[in-house]
Amino acid sequence: MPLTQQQLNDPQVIGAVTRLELHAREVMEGVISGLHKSPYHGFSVEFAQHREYTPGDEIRYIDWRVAGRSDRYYVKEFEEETNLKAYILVDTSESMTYKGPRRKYSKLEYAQILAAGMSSLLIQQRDAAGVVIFNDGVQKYVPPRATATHFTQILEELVTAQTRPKTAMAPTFHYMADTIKRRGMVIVLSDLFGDLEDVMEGLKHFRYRKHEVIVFQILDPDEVNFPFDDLTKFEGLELEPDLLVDPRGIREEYLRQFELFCSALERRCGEIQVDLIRAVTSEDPADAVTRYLSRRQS
Amino acid sequence: MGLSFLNGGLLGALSLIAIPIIIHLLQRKRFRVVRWGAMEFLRLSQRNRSRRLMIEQLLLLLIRCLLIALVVLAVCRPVVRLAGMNIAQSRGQVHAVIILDNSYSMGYRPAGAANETVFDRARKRALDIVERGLRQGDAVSVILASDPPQALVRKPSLDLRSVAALLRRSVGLSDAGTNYGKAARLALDVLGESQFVNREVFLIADNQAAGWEGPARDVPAWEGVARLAKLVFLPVRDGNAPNAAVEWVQAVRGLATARSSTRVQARIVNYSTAPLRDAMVSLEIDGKPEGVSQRVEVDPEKGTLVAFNQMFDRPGVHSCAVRITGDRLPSDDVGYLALRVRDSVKVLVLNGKPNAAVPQKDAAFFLQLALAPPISGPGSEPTPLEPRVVPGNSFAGANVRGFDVVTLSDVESLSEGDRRLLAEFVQNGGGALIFLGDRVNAPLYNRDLYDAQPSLLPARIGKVDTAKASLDAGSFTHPALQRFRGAQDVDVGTAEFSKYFALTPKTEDRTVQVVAKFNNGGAAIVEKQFGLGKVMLVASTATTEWNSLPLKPVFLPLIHQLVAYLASGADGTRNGQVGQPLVKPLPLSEASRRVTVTDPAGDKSTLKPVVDERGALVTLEKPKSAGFYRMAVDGGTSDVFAVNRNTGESDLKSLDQSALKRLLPVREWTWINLDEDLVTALNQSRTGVELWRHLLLAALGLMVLETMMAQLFGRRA
Repeated sequence: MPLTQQQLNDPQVIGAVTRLELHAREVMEGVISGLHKSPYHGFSVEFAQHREYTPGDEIRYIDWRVAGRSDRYYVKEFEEETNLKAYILVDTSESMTYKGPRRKYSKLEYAQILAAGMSSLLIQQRDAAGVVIFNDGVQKYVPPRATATHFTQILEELVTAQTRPKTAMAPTFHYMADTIKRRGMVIVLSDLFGDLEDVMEGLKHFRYRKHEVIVFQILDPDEVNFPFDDLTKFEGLELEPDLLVDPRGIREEYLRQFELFCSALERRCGEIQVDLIRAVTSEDPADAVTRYLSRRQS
Repeated sequence: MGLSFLNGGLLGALSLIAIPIIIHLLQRKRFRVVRWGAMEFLRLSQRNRSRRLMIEQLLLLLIRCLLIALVVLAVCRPVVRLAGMNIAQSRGQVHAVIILDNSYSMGYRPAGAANETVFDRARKRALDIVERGLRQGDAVSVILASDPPQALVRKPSLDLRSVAALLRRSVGLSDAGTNYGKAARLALDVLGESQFVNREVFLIADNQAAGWEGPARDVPAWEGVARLAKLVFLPVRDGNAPNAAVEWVQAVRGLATARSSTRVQARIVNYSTAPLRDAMVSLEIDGKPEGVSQRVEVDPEKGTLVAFNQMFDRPGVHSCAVRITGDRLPSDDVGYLALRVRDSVKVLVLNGKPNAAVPQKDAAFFLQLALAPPISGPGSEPTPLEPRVVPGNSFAGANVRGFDVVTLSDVESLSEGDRRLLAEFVQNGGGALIFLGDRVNAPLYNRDLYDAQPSLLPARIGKVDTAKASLDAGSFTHPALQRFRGAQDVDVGTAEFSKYFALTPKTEDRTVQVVAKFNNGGAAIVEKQFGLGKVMLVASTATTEWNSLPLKPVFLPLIHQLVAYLASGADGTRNGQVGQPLVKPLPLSEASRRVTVTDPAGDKSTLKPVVDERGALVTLEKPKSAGFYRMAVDGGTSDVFAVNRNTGESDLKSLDQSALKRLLPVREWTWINLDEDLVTALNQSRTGVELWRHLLLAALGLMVLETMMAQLFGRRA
């Protein structure tokens, strides 16, 4: 659903869009500058063939392994995948709004920045990027395109995304898996708090459709470290009943449960070749993306 | 087994247990709120941990409450008493409070006990307690129980040897009675200050009924004592003991004069169940036997009067003692009387309306007749009163200072000089009796003697009233007129008053009192104290013109009583009882002198007069011994006072255990008879262990446990 004119004229929305664009550019530039230092390239760049080195070629493209074996210099030639379509799924359930004290971003803001940054990066590479905003179902679906104006639309949709106190990841994933006809890249931005089996079923569905699946598990450091001391009433963001808890008393157990979940998630993702990147909101969003790209191309 | 608390009043502090509970609840109310996403992990963790956490917290709370309870209980000092538990070996320190009865009844010498008094036995019992019943580390207090009781050793003394020496050396019989209730109150005070674990109160007494009953019955005090300490009764005499006593001695007529006979009367009481026979009663004047001894017989539990006619050959204050032959309690066999004997009583009558022709209209005629009636018939004695009549409205050079009483009869008014003379006369102890009449200039009286200073008149003189009235004998409560109240021989009510002044007594003056009233309620005689002396104002005349009083038989004794009363002037309280103050008034000129008091034993002390609106007074607050006291003003006169015992103590009936139990429903006491060995009986009764040390140790243990548990739980969390 496109944004209304009123929403687009809202100065807050305009400001938010501008800020997000700025963040996206930061991410993009960060990623690119990171990539310049490394022999790796963007998302859609794939190795094509070797070609004999001729002066003028960039030295960094010389394939040193081939040179070592054959004593001849070859440079690697890359082929840009121009037909890549990336679907960025952004979780906007209430649990994503958690923002620990002294943190710069809430998880949702972090996800928005990541989504914007990656969209920018993809469109820059002339790939098509689309955004799916979901919580208790798909809320917004911006199909992938590779135009600059499209990027602006993505930004607008991201900043005006509404939250809902419920996550239904599995139905969303199944729905999207059925919706996306062509093989593409699915990037999930979520804390993945929910039933692990459901989540895995959804992801499996994407894999079944031969999509490449990348999951950014976005967490607040508080959720990882549980740094609370005083008696605390935890109010469920997603309508769960409140819990009055002495955090010191249960920290050990919480961390154990949390780690249990994360390691299970990691193992199950590995089993179905889903790339899982854990990003905490204290980390620079650009670093999270770079971390992924480095891993992908190594 | 019984549990009691030495500081039971502090048990209320147990409510402090609420503090940790309140803190716990408050802490549960004070929490931060976090809106949280990862609820599932919390829920899972909470499920496993929360029950244990709750149990841990409750455990800590319980320990903290218990800790406070133990400390509070320790402060309350609980004592557990186990039946049959002999703690003679293991007992803690004992604080013994010995109440030793030293009232004069303890001077009784029981039959078959050689020369030993009951008090000697009591002292032995006390020494037994101190020297054999207590041991090193125990403490003792000693209370002497004669009224008012006195703490001989108030603070618990650990020096048992010097307390024993004190009991041997410095404790003697008093002349006072007993009030065991007051002694119990004092013992309560002493116990209240005691910090000792085991407290014992010993009452060594003859348990005289008089010391337990009536105003001396103070059950709450004894209950308090029994609550704070173990109560042990050590009776030293049982049953009734025959005894006779001189209850009081007094002069029959208030006024005694030299060279005329004075009747000294005494009441002898037999407190025994058997009649008193062949007892001899004798009178001593100024320490010498006087006159004949009289034999008396007194029925059981009855009294009888004995009278002596005594002629004093010289004026002054004489000491009179009446004795009966000695019985087993000698101290109450004598009664004392200090009697002021005058040379004679000189009365100056100022006759404001002389009338030689018609004597009935002469203002002094009836007065003179009453004061000095003609001697008629054998056996009659001249009255000790010496009247002198001065006609006119002025003292006219008569030496007023040489008289005891001045009477004004129908005097028109007094000159300024005479007024001053009269004021000075009354100020120094003289008496003034003022009759009114038709010559009296009432406005001048009011102006010069009521409104102006010195204000001598006790009442303002109003209009002449002619409504018929008579004297109301029922209103005679004044000591001077008590003789006429309900008297059979004379009737004051028969005199008719047809004319009298309306008197308005000066109520703002505390010393003004209405001596007699008319039957219509008006004041007939009003009195006022002025300096050391007194002024009386009579509303009517001393002649038959306004009333018929001078014609009635009551006139003579009435005038005598009034004159005797007015003449007693500066006498103060000459006869008193042990413990009651003796007061001697002094002329203002002697107010700065010191007064030396010699007590019956011959010991001297000095007192200083205190000046108040009545003049200068010397007061001996609490005479301790019975007998004659002498007060001598430095460079001045000497005076004698008599102090008697309160003979309520002479009734030697004592209460046995069951009678006392009925009278004193105290929960628990030990009764050790005279023939029982004190130490054996004591050890059998000494039980009880204090628990505060154990409680504090337990509290200390809990404190350590609490710290350890809190740390353990904290570390796990």
